[in-house]
Amino acid sequence: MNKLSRIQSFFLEMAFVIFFFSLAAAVVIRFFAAGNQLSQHSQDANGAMLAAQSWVEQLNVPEAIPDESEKWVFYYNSQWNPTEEPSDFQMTVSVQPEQTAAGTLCRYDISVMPEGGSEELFHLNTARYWPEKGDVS
Amino acid sequence: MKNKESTPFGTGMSSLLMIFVVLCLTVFGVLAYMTARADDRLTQRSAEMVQAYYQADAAAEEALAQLDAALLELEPEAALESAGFTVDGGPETWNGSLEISIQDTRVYQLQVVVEQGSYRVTARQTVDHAVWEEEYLDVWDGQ
Repeated sequence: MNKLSRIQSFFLEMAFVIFFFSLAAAVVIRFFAAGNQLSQHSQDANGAMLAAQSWVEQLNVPEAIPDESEKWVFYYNSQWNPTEEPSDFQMTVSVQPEQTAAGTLCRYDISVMPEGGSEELFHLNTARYWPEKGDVS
Repeated sequence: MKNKESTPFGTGMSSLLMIFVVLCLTVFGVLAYMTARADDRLTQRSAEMVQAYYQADAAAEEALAQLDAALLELEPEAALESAGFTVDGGPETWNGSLEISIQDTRVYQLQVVVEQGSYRVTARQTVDHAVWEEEYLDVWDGQ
């Protein structure tokens, strides 16, 4: 086998190797990208859940009981630290008070989603009863 | 005698190397994806449990609101029953117990005491009614 023939077969093999490696790499990169996307979504959902839970737990000591329906928006950065300005995530809290004969039952609807996004990360419904007299327990 | 010129790598060596690298990349890629998917599923389950808990908490608050309103018009025992509580005790002090199902075997338990026309929450907890399978270990007692 002369030298030229050996070089030709080497380059031909290289061409096939590069071709098949490119195909395989394209498929594997999709796996990695999908895994990264899932991981990021899971991280965001966890942060949203913790932020909503933290807000609900502070309801046990209210500063003021609303008289009418209200809506508040809270902003969080990518590390789920509260910010004043719109950042990476926003939490919308809607409250609807219902007056009863002995107090006020407030229903809270909490929704957490990415800023400017459409997919809701976490949604929570809860309620708190504030009697007119006596202690909240 | 002719000197044979040989390439540093034999024919097919690069193909073998490529196959090995692609196999490794595929295994790592699949592992990474499956780990991320398992994490996402766990997060979804946690979210469902948290939502179920706070729904049960909301139902308990509604029961308290109903009880407080009923105490203005009814006797303690009737007020507790109208709010869905299981009643015990009397005549001065009435105990009420309410269980709200959260998920599967977990229940939200609320206990109140009614005396002198007002209620007081004495217990608010999550109880798991899952039955643990008893495992018997034949441990040597020394004899």
